[in-house]
Amino acid sequence: MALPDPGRVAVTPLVAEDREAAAALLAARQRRVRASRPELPARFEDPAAFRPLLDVLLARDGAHGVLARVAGEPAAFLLGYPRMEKEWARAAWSPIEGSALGDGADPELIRDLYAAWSAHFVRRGFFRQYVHASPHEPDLMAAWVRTGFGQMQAHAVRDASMSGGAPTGVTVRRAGPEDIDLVEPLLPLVAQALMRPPAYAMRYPEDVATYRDSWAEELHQPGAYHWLAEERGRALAMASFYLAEPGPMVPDGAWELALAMTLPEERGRGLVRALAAAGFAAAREAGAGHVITDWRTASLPTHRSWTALGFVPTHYRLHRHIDERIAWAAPPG
Amino acid sequence: MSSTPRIAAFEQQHLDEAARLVAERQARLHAVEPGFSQRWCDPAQARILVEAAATAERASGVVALLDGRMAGFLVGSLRLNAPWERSGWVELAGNAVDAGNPDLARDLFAAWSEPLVREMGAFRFLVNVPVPDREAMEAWHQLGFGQMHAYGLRSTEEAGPGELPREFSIRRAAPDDEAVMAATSELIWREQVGPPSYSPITAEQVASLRADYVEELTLDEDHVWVAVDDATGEALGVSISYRLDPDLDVPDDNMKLASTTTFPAARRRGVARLLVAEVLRNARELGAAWCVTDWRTSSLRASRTWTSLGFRPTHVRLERRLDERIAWADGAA
Repeated sequence: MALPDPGRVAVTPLVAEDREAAAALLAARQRRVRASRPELPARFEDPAAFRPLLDVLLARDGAHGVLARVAGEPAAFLLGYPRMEKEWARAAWSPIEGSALGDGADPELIRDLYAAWSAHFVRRGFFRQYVHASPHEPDLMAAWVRTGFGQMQAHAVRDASMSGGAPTGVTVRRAGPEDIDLVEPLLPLVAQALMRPPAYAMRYPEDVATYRDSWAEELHQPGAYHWLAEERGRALAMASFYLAEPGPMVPDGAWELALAMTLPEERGRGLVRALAAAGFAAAREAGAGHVITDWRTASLPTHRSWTALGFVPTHYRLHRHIDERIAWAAPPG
Repeated sequence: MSSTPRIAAFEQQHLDEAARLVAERQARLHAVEPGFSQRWCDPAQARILVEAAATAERASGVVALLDGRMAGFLVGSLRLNAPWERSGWVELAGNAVDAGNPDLARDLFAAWSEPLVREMGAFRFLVNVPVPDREAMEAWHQLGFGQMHAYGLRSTEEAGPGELPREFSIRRAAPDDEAVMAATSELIWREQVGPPSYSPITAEQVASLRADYVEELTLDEDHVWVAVDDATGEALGVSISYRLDPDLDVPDDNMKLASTTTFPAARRRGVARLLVAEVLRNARELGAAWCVTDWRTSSLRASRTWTSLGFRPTHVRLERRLDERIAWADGAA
């Protein structure tokens, strides 16, 4: 970590004309990450693939970005937008396509960028800040951690080759709309697991109360594969698969294991593995070579289950909650 | 993890085993960073520090037992004082796990934090973790902890900080340096309130800090150095140092570099290097082989200055702020 030469590093607001520079930086990151994760799409090594993503990001209400130039050349950028949904409670959010370093750039640059970017949002009352980074850029991850960010959510990939059968006496089948009563006891399990220590992820009571209605609709979705483990007429576990949205961290054609839930007393029987195997088989039949998923890293059972099933993180959502007292406990200079 | 740990409350009877874990960790740390003193590789010595942590005001703790043997422990204290709000603190001697079970830290935190969150309203947690213990550090990052403060050291005998500027000189502070000390205190807090550090300071804390710095002029055991411009006699910067009581990463023969500041007009002229060189020289003269210091990791200037001056982080204070809505938004209708 060297002292940056202020004569060589310039941080300026990122404007629409900087889109090409940002796209080139993202493409460079894709090349570096793919050296470790060749399953990620090669087409994102072309800056053109990032232009539409950046256009969407730049067009968001309140979007704000900054660009670092070293000796006049674009070396890194950070771009994000405000999220007002009630669960995020006024957050500044930069997705995975919202930041990148150029080849050979000092990861410490991201801290200069964050200083400028975050000040914009803190002035506007956004004290919860979220960014994304890949563990395949460990020095960059470390720079974020030095700036107060901890891990929140892991996004991961594994190949779709998993196979296996159900435990004796357990039937694995696709669930449909007619199963809503059967699966209802499973529906709050994910939220309940996340609320427990050490995850401490809150869920509004009014949201939990809507689960039955929203799942009644969800079970109708033609593109969804909900796999149910059932024993003597009782739902033990369920896992939901979808075709994944494409993106730089999503292998082409991948499916997404969106969530899985197991009755607490039935854990340890291999039910999730059996459901995953059924979902993976369907994904393979549809031509998928990989499956993606994501989890709250502070949720111990989830973190341990997904890593034990062979999912390897491609990137993390990192989180910092700035002390709100900074709004007033900072005497004017 | 070899098997499921049993988590139990920390009791007096656990002191010896906890001290063994700390001593074993100290031996591992000493092998990679000799600044971790061998004194604490002796469980009897380590026990003094563990007992201090376990008997601190409002302390509580948990142990992880694997096959009946202690594989990890965590003891910490609830602090109620400003500016830390209601927070749970774990000191370096208050946590250690077996070398092969770094993930136990997460189970321990889950159990220890729950009553503090649910019953005492502590939503802010601060944990000290050795930097060379990379697996333990990763476990804490996965829990959502980011870095807040780094503690580092360097040898006083290593090569000096390079050629010193000739137009400056160093003198000891004099009783009439009150204005210089007051200005120094202001520099310290101004550096920390700005982005990306965002460390709030109240008006009363500003006054208290100023008084503390001025009081330094009356403390015989402290060394206060002032860098002055030879031509004008103007103060360019100040450094304060003193001896610290030994601790896990504070060698017996130490000099604590408590602060070094350069006034803005004198920055990038080598003033900090000159002051640190003087502190190191003085430390050697007094028989101190090690110089220790600490800095806010999100303060870019401090973080870059201390590492560029040869200080290696030995441990970091990690912070996690929980979403306070978890107190009531627990999904219950």
